[in-house]
Amino acid sequence: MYLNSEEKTKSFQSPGAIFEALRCIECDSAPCVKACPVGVDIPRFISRIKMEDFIGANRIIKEKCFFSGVCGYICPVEKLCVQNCCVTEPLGPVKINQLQKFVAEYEIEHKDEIEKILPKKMNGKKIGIMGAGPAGLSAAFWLAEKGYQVTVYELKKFPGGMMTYGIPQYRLPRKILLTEINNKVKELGIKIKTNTPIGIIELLQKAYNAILISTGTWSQVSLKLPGINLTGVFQGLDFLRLVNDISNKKSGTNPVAEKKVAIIGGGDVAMDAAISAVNFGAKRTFLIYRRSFEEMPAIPSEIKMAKEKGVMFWVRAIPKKIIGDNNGNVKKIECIETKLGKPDKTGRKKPIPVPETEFQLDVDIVIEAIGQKVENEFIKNKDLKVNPNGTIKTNKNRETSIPGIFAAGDVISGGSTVVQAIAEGVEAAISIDKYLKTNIAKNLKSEIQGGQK
Amino acid sequence: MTDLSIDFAGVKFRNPILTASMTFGWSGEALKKAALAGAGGVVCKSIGSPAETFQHPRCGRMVLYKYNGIPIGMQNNEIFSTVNVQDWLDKELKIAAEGEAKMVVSIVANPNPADTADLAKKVADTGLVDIFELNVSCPMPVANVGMNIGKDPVLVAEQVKAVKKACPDIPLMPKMTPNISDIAVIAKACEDSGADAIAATNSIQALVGIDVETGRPLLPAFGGYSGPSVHPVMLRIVVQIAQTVKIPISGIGGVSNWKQAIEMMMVGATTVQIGTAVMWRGYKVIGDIISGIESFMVRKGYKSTKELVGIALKHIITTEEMAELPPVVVILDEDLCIGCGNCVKVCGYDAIEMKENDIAKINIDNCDGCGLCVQICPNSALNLVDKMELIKKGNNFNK
Repeated sequence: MYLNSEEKTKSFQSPGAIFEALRCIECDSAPCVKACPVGVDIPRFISRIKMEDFIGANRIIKEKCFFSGVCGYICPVEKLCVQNCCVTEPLGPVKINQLQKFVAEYEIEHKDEIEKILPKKMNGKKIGIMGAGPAGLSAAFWLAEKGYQVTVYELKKFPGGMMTYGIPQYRLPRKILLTEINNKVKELGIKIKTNTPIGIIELLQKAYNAILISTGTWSQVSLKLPGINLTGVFQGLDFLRLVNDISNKKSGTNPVAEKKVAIIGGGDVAMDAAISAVNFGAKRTFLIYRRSFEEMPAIPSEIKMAKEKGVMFWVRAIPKKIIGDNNGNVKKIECIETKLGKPDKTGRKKPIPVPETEFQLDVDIVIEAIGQKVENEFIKNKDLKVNPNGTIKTNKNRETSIPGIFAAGDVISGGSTVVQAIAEGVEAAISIDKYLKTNIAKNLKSEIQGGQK
Repeated sequence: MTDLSIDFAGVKFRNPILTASMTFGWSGEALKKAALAGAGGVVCKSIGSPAETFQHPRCGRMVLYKYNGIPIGMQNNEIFSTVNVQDWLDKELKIAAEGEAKMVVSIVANPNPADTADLAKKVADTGLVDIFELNVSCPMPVANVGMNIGKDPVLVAEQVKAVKKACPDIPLMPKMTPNISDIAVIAKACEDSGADAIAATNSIQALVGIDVETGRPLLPAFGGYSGPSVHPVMLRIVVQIAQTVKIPISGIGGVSNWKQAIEMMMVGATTVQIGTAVMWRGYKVIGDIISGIESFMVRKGYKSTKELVGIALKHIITTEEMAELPPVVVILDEDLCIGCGNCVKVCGYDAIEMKENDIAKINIDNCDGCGLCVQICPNSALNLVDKMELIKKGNNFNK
């Protein structure tokens, strides 16, 4: 499969793409499609590449996935379509994501070859969406295509959510992301209000027929180690946002240049942070993970890339404390080795600390990236039922405990992939459409007021 | 908006792509699937054959012809529909019509034209026929049907007249055989005797190959050869017919992608039938071909499919006329030459040699302007230019 994510995101030119496409046998069982959370008709779009109909190929992808280029770049395909590809020997599975990336980029470069879609007749119904991440935007696009008037509220400066703020640019060029978002927003006349914090109550005051919550997981889980407040300790997402800002030449100073950096965690954010630290000139980068490589949840190609970039992996080690110098800066991190016991609740082997195996690493920067959770003041509401971990409770139609309010993306899953969020966003949109077709059109405001009587 | 619909023999098709009379027109269900996959029209497997030709081989009757492991053609020894006429009339045509594509019903020309007319009348009475396709071209010469009728202008004319007389209101489209020397003669005979359109053509009579290990043929009888490798032959035939008759043509032969479909239209076909492509890649290929046509039309600014029909015809001349055109010679872009020497290998005129620095060198005096090396070059380093102009510029085209 893929050596690392650099190889994974290599660009095809059209002869290369056609050559690669010809390796697809267009098997009727199409296990790749079954493995795709949004169900892109992969053999179909590849068939159109064979015929040099690149615009038609992207049309097939966009029927299911509005972020064709984004997914081409960042989808964990070695766990999804590519892993399930029928073709194996001698050249390995078909490089589906690279083909997808190729057609998405082709379309961006050949905008004039796309037929202008006439604006849909608006159906007069209004939808409010909280959070302009992959789930919220996918739902917005889907609903706008059906004629709904959609407004998306976004707390941050740019739309895109985790795609914009949580994924480093070496994995996803900003240009692709913003082009895909902006083209669609413009085409469909969606309103995106950035820099606009808004809560559920406030949203209910406005005359929306349905509301979607897709605010994601932005609160970070912390081990709350002793020394967590020392200068030089970062949370993973904050660090990624910082380096993304630097990449955009917007602002910020590089905290890791010539520094010794320790990353805590073994997921995608940890791997992104480790590779970014190396890319931004860290002198030495450690990654500390409490289980072994086998249990590491990050995408294998990213782990491989981190290794090749020179990230030093301390697996089977748990950090115990961060030690500072007299000025309150990080100086060392103390860890303890573990052995793996029986599988725990999550199904992975439980790491058990081994006594008297403490060791210390000289570091200047500690980046904690052990996970995210929901915790979000904007969605606090006594009627909105949540799970113990803070995620919003929904039924299978992505509807919450408040009628007319739906939820999708990380805010219900607790943190998953972009493609999963896209799938949930579309599912929620379909449910909203159904809901508004079966319920007599009335706006939520009156419905809630009616309920209070 | 791009308009894919097209008028053909007075029938309006939603797009110019039809599935041809083939295995995947075996039943109403198959035709319905093709229609739901997007085909503008569907042609059923030819129905109503005389009893003695009802059976077809069931001992393996399709063999792919491969070049370097890639299928480029196929022989089949399939004859007519094995579903009897009554079943077609009672249910199969009704099922096919549920797909809402235009219904082109292929009927077998029986040896006696009166029988063919009776058959046509019976089928027409279902009210489900938009166009009749008349099979006078099956390449498996069983009895006195198929191409045995289609190769004789007199016999074809009798058939066309008989069917037209029985069903004057339904457009009639005889399907030509390519296995004769001049198809235009047959097409003209059809037009003169009242045909409304021409389908061109059926498959080419062939023997697909010999198993050299055993010395036995891959298929023991001559059959019909189809697939992408027949496409250039069919383009030539469609041009010849288009230059001879005024009635519209449904082009058939090797079309397996949108480009080939558009080529067919540009040489004069108003609709295009696909068969082998669907057999090899399933019904969804129909949508792929239509999507490709649409993308192409948007890219080139065509508004309607009828703008494409026949636009290449005026550029088609004879070889004698071609010889009057100004000669060209090959020139080399040294920056692109990778030094493989393949141009030297394919030059029959000693016009190219390899220099010591591993770059090709062209001797313009020897170059006869054939153009083969230009296409063999793996890195597009060779180009054809006007010979006179080149000499005027002192052998340096960049001056």
